[in-house]
Amino acid sequence: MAKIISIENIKTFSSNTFRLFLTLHLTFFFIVVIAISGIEFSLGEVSVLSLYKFRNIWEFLPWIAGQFNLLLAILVISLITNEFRNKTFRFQLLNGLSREQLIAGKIWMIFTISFYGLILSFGASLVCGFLIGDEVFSWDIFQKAYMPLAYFIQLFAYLCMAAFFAFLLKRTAVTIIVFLLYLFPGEVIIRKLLFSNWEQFFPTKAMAGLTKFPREMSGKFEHAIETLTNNTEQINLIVSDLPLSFNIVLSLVYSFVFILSSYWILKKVSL
Amino acid sequence: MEDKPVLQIKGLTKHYGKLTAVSHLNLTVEKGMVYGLLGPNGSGKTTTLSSALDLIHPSSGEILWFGESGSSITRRQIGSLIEQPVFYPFLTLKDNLRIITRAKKVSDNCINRVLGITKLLDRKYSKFKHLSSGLKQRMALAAVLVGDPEVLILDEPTKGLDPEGFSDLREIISEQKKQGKTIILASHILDEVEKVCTHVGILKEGKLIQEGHVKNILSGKDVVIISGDDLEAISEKLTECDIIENQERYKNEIRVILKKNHTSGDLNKYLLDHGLVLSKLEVQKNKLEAEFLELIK
Repeated sequence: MAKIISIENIKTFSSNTFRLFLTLHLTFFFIVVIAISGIEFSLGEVSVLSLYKFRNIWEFLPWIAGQFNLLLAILVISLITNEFRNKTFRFQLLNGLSREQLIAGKIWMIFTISFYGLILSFGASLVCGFLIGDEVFSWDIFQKAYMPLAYFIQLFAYLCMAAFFAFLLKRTAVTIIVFLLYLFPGEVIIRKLLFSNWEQFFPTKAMAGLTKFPREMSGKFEHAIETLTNNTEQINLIVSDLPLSFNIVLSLVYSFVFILSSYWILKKVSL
Repeated sequence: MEDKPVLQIKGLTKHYGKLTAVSHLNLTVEKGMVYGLLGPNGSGKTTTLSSALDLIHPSSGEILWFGESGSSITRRQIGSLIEQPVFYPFLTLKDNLRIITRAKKVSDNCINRVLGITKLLDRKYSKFKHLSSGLKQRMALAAVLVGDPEVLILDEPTKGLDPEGFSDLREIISEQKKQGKTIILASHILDEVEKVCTHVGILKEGKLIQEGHVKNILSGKDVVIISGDDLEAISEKLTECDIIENQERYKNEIRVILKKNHTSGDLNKYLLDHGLVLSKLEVQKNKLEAEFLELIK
């Protein structure tokens, strides 16, 4: 395993695509986090600043980070489809790696990017909680500090799904288009039309359920948004009603299925 | 393992849709052989080698490396160059070779050695995408040599090489041959194959039509180039001649392949007996090229 990690690290960290997308991701994430913190909005006990206070921030920033998953999914798609385009899967196979090891390398790459997401959401939550939320240290601040871990699982599952599309379609542009079409309206149509009673169990729904708008604040914010926008339709910031633990299990099962399917495709394909 | 053939291909067949690229191919390469795989474009050389290296899945047949089904462990003993050089374009030569050293579980120390052999040491920190096609081919040769593999598979290794590279390649192959390495070489440059190979297999439309020691393939049939005032009459008379196997017209000359145990003298006598005088009669050394062209007809 050490050699696969080493090989994948040489490739990934030297890739301009990797550096570019990570820089973009970091930039967009912090722009949004800082921009939202600057919104002076308060309605009764509801204020934007309350989202930056511990414990809310442990849920809020992973939820914000989750909105940028698509960018990292495109990165994973690019890195995998480039291997097909440059015939570098063949290069590795010729030099003694097996197809299993090629998949293991990609799982490691996905794990690395997800780990970056974990560090980012945990670190940003901690720092912003003190700097923007203006909190002082106590052990209580770590309540709900497990939420970045849920975001890590969400991102890992999401990137496994993107990898599956990349292995299936092999071409960057085609994969990105099909992946986007699957996210919207593909899965939504399938869910609504065919399996409306099982909506919560679908991949993107289960994954989205892992990062939630701060639950304690969601009702208040929903009401505030409805009041401010004179919206007669119900606003729902919580995308899944299933328990977090259930969504974790479901997302891990989906990750496993996507990895296994990717391996099956790679096993069958001529390189 | 010592006694087992390096490579055994048994009944290999590969279909691409309706097209049969390779059909029931049997081939054995023993240790120490320099095996030349010859064939015109589309004859199945690359498909055969790609199947042997698990890059493509055969429709049927069995491939054994060192008597065992191909695994990543046996592949580490093989250095291969299939079709065009394939590397990570954004990585330096050193980093590309580092990937190979890790895959083959060998020390990074050999990087300088292989770059030295292929005269690329001064380009060690250049990105692969910045190399010319000739240098890319040299890099592919460097990659083949990483880990000092037991077997070298070279598919069209001279593609893109300049005359110096060509000569260097010949030197590299000779050196590897001296070390007792097994080399499988697919090439269109028949002269090159004839110079370096001990054994040859000739593929035509996915079938192995001739195989054996180079000396045996060069079966002793002479090739004679003749010319005369009345080429039409000479050509016509040759069609009735039973000492020749084949004739081909090239501008104002005729290339004749004589049957075994017949000489140019016999040919000259036959034509003189029929009142035809030759202005040119040149016996060519029996070349693999002549044999090859004859076989793939």
